[in-house]
Amino acid sequence: MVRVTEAQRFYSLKNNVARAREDNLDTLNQVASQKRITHLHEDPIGANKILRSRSRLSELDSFVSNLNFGKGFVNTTEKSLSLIQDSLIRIKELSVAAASDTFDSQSRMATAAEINELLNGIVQIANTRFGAKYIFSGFRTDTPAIDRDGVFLGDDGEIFLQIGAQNFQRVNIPGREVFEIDPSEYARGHIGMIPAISSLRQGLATDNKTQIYKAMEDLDFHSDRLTTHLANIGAIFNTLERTSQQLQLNKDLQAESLSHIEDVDLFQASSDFKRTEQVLQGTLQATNKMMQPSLLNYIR
Amino acid sequence: MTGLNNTLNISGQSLYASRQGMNTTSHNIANAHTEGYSRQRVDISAHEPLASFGHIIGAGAKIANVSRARDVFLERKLNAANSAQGDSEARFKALREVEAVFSPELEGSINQQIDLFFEGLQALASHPEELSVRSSLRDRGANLASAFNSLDAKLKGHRRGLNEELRASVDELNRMVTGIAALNTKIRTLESGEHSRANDLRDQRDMLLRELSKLIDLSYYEDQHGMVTVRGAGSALLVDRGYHSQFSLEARGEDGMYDIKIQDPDGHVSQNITNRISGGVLKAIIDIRDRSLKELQGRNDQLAYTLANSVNEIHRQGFGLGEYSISGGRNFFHPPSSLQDAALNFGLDRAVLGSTNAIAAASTAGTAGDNVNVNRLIKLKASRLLEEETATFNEYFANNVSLLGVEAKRAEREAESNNVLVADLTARVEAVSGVSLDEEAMNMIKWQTAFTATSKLISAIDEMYQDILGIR
Repeated sequence: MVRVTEAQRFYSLKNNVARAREDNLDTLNQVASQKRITHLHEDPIGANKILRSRSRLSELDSFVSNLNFGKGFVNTTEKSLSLIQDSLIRIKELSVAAASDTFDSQSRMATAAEINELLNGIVQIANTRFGAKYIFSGFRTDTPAIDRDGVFLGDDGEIFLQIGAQNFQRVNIPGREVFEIDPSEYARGHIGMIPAISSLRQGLATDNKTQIYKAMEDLDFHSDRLTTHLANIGAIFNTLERTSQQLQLNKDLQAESLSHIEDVDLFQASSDFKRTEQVLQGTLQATNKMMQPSLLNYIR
Repeated sequence: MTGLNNTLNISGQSLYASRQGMNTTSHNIANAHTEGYSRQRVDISAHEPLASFGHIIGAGAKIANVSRARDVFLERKLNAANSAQGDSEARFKALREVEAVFSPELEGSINQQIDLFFEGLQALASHPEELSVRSSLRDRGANLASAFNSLDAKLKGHRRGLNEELRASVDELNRMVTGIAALNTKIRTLESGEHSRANDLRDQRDMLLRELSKLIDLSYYEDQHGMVTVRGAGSALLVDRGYHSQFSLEARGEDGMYDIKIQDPDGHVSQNITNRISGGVLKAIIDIRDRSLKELQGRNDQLAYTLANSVNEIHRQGFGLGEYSISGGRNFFHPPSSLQDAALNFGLDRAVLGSTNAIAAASTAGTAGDNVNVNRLIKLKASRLLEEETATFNEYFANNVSLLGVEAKRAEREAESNNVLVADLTARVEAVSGVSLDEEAMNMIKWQTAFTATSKLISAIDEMYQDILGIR
């Protein structure tokens, strides 16, 4: 038989009430904050996962904004290249017509003037900016890509952006390859895009058929090269687009798994709260009854 | 041969014993809720019998002793459990205060600032020529710096807080050992010559021992004169008969933290017991102050040191804008001079503070749109440079967080199990020593009945006297 003493009774009642209150408060905190971990010690490993997960989400956010910027940049590049291509085709059409014997020198002069306008247009397009950047200048984004004479002012910088953990994607087209020619091409007798158009214009103005034909060949050469660049930029755009979709999916999954660790299951939490509340009430009621009976009540 | 006087005498002693019984019952009821009180009982024994006309006749009752109900073995166990509980509870309490600093819900944590800093670098990779992006990156660098500084300050603050708690604890220790020594003397004086026990003083002394065991590891024994000798913190002598040791604090040179010193009762030898305390609240405070928090502080320094150096190393290879576009070799963060205090001194480099043009995004001189160097910096986020090349910056920080969390969780679990143990032992000690009002009510009935019966006896004796005196 164990003796039950006053202090012991009081002590155990006090402990029971304190425990019931503590459990009740914990669940209340969960319901109120909607967070599963309100204190670190409740789930240290979970807290570790939360931090890693948040960091990952921040990275994914960066990739998304890089992708959005990249897509804009590539889009502008593609539009500009298409416009230049259209101009080259128009110039080609004009020059084919003008080179025929049905054109007299007067009409050729008129064509030369029209080509001059197109040439100015191309120079303008070549110096297109996306935001503050000249898109064809390589790294020298604060400098126009070419001057009035078609001299390339940029450099060969390739702009890469991070779009995945191990994935850096180039977003610019090297302007030098669009507007200038390399030494081997020079050796084969080619000249740059703008000089070729200038030469065509000059040939038309001076009625020099040899010069016109030579310039038309160069135009074809540049037009072909442009097609390749357009294909490249299209491929880059597709890569960005595809990565975008994957990234969105990744982000959703990451956010979901973070929510799993971080957020409280509200139904569970409120039913826990209800349960602990009932336990607390029961304990308090029992406590009230426990303190009453005593032999002293029966002694006169 | 005994006379009627003797009969009256037996009754008188019986009345006295009943009254003492009543007194003790009343003393017990009065102290039913006094902490550390052990219920007392009156031990009645029969007097030496007398021989009368060849018969041996009982000579009534006397009070043999007033004793305490207690179980020394259980109390020793309780005191040992108390030490463990004091340790784990203080540990949990201290760690709970620190854990708020590392809470995953905390805004502006180092983890978040590292993320934001690298987001800033990503933006710079897209827009290396834009002033607004550059200043935003610089702001983020500054925020990261203040996150490092403030965590360092908070950890140091907590260490100082614990250090100050030692002062209060040492005052407590001195109060307790002084109390025990004083009670030793009083008990010896009161108990000398008599066979009775100084029950209430002994209760007080047991109480002090119990409180003391919460603070520090303890061993004690009672000598033949009823005085206890107390040893603690390994085997340092704390109380020897009526004498006690003196605890004091002494600030360390290196970090200003206190060492606990103890001077023995003779006042001769003074020894440093800081690292010899193996239980109780003091152990927890010292351990968390000198190990847990120091380690976290060191890891914070390590993170700051590695981050600053690795960013700087790459940043020095690059070129900025404007006046900084031609020359490279500049740092981004103020280069830490040593691992120690790297978090405290973490800050932006002076050139970067002065102009955002100093931020070296480019790998070649004089190119505004060159983002090669930024991309190199961005790769640092996924680089495993810490924890023997197994953890990135973020992972390292997350590890710090779980390191603290796991320790706090362990302390909580230990505290819970110690609480259960202490509660159980306390209940068992109370079952032996505590006061039960029902029992006291029964004692009351017992003593009252005895008193009434004895009174009746006396009146019967009185009548007998009348009869005798009435004989003519």
